Amino acid sequence: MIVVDDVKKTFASRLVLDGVSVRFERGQVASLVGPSGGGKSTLLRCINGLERFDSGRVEVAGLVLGPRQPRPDAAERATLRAIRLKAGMVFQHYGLFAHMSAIANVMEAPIHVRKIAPHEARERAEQLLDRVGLSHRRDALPRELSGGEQQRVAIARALAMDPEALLLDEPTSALDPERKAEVVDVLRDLAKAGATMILVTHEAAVAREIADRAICLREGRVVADGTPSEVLR
Amino acid sequence: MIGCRAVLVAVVVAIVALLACDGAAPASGLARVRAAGVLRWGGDVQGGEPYVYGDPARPDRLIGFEVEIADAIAKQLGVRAEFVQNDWSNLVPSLERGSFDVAMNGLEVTESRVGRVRFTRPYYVFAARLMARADDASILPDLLALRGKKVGTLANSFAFEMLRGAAEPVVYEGVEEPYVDLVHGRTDAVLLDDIIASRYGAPREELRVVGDLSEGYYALAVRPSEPDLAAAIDGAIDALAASGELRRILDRSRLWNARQERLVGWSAADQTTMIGAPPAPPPLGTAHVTLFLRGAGVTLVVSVLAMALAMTLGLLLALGRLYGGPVLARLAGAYVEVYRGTPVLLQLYLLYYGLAPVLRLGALPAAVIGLGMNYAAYEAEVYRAGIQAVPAAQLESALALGMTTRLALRRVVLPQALRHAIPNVTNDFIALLKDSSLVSVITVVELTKQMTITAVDVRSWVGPGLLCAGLYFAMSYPLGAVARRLEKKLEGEREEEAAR
Ligand SMILES: Nc1ncnc2c1ncn2[C@@H]1O[C@H](COP(=O)(O)OP(=O)(O)O)[C@@H](O)[C@H]1O
Ligand SMILES: [Mg+2]
Repeated sequence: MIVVDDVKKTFASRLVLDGVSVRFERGQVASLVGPSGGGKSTLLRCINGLERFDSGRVEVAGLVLGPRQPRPDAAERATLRAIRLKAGMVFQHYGLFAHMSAIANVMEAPIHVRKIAPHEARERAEQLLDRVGLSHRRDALPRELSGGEQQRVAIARALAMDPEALLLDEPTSALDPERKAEVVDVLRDLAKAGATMILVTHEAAVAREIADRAICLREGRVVADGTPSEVLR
Repeated sequence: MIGCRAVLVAVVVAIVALLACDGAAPASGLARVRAAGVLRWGGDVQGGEPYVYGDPARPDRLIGFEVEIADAIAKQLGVRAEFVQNDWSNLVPSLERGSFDVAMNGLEVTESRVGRVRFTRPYYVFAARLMARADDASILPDLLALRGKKVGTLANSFAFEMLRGAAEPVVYEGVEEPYVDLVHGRTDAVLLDDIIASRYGAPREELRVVGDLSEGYYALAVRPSEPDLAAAIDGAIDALAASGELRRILDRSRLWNARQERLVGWSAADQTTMIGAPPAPPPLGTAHVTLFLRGAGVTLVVSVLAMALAMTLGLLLALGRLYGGPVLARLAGAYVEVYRGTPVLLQLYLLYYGLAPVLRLGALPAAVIGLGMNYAAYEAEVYRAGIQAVPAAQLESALALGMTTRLALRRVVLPQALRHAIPNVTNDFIALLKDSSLVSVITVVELTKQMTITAVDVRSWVGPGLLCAGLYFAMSYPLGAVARRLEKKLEGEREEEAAR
């Protein structure tokens, strides 16, 4: 349901994605692994349009994104937004809205982007916070939460938009082991519930436990693709 | 509260120290002038032709009938004359603090000045001349008939004292502006000395001379502690009048007329009549306090409205500069540079007088718009810094949730940026509160202007100065406290965040 087809991307004349082609299936949990600087984050960001690529194409649930245009028109901007609704993003450094409580973070986009009635959005946000084990922290501001709590709120925030896939960029690498486990628990539950996920991670154990598949990206190229145990030898 | 009291004490000490300096002038002014070989006289070239002004042929050289009179008096005293430039409305305070030996610049003998300086015998007899628009027959040559009319004049002038209580005086700092505003219908009439009226008012086709309402005298002002200098100058003017030199000088500037004949053979009795019995200065009373409170109200209204404009426009400029695309960004950048790079006084002048032919703003709206547009440039930079202080990840997270850039700015970036900006915005508002005194150049009587008017009235700067300072302080201190509290709070939050 996510197709990346021969995508090339340069940063300041440096080739960062060198013709990447890969398909991600619905209900599959794929882990993206590989050395630092290999292009994993860039690939995720190209999939949801935070970064535009130079050539190739990306397709997300039937929506097609082409290479960067000199001047994106209204139709293209609409496609970008539609893709971002299909593919939710979770960042390494959480990126919670600093001026909003945990629950307000989760309700924000449903109310203002999806135009869901505030009381419905609140109900759903409460369910999601409960699901990531944080209903007791709903009124805390991000700076009052631990890193692990912040990351779980960020996951709830992404889920609140009912995305068809979750893109997670090293969601646990900024956390100490204990906090890491809290987040991994949440990811495992999501995987069991059949969520589609692309998970960038450095941790073989996490990939082995949660993912059905591992793809290794090195110097902008897919150098291995198979089950986690095959790829992560 | 302790800080508040300490500042007040400091203000009092400073004022008392200033007053003490005044008393320290040497006993004989004449001896000092002779020893220095120079008579330093204060005036303002802004008064223009024919008083003291730059020679059109050689702008570095000053000419004018007062230059000639000063030279002639100095010659009589056996010294040379030297001009000292000084803002006209502050000639008397500057004389008191010793910036020059005498003040001479169309300084009319008025009741309030008689109480503060010693006037020499006069060198010109002027008429207070009323002018109106040529097509406005409703203005009559009668002071009492001016009730309720807006009449332009110079602050603290003879005409201003006449108009007070009789009409609604509108006070200017230059001689050209009252007539410009009269032409544009911002006032109903202008009452000023005949010299000014004939040079700056009469040449305008749209205006007519209504008539002369009163007569008065120009004389040199000397410090009361130097009667010998005043007496020597009296003698010099006497000699100039008797020899016909004074008439020749006035003739050269086409100023001699029947009124001036009185200057020849001016007697001690004439001098006594001219000066009159100096009236006791009115004490600083509740009437003054009411005026001060009104002035403070004007200051507050102008400041609050100007700040509201500055914050709105500043936000648009900051957004234009950061997100508006190349053209808008360039325009917003140019706005900020131009408004920050030129004096706000100039901007007020251009807005009020320069634009008058096409856009006739009232004084108060012009003050609000002028200050607001100036401060918008500063607020734009404050907001820009605030927006840039919001981590880029905040915008990215919002976009990743499907928000448009506009929505992300409104809901995520700006609320945080504005929080960062609050302490600076508050500090700028305090600065604006004080800068608002500049709008007196476009005839708005706010707190500071009210202070200078009252100071002339009661012949002292101490009471009005303290009252004025106290009112400014009462307005800005609470704001300063709020700004400091917010700053500390934000600082605390940042540290809390950094500690993680
Ligand atoms: N915004 C950027 N500007 C310039 N170079 C970048 C930018 N983002 C990433 N890169 C470069 O692209 C390469 C791939 O980065 P990234 O996708 O972050 O790798 P990974 O996530 O696999 O560690 C790195 O060499 C990085 O320095
Ligand atoms: Mg990365």
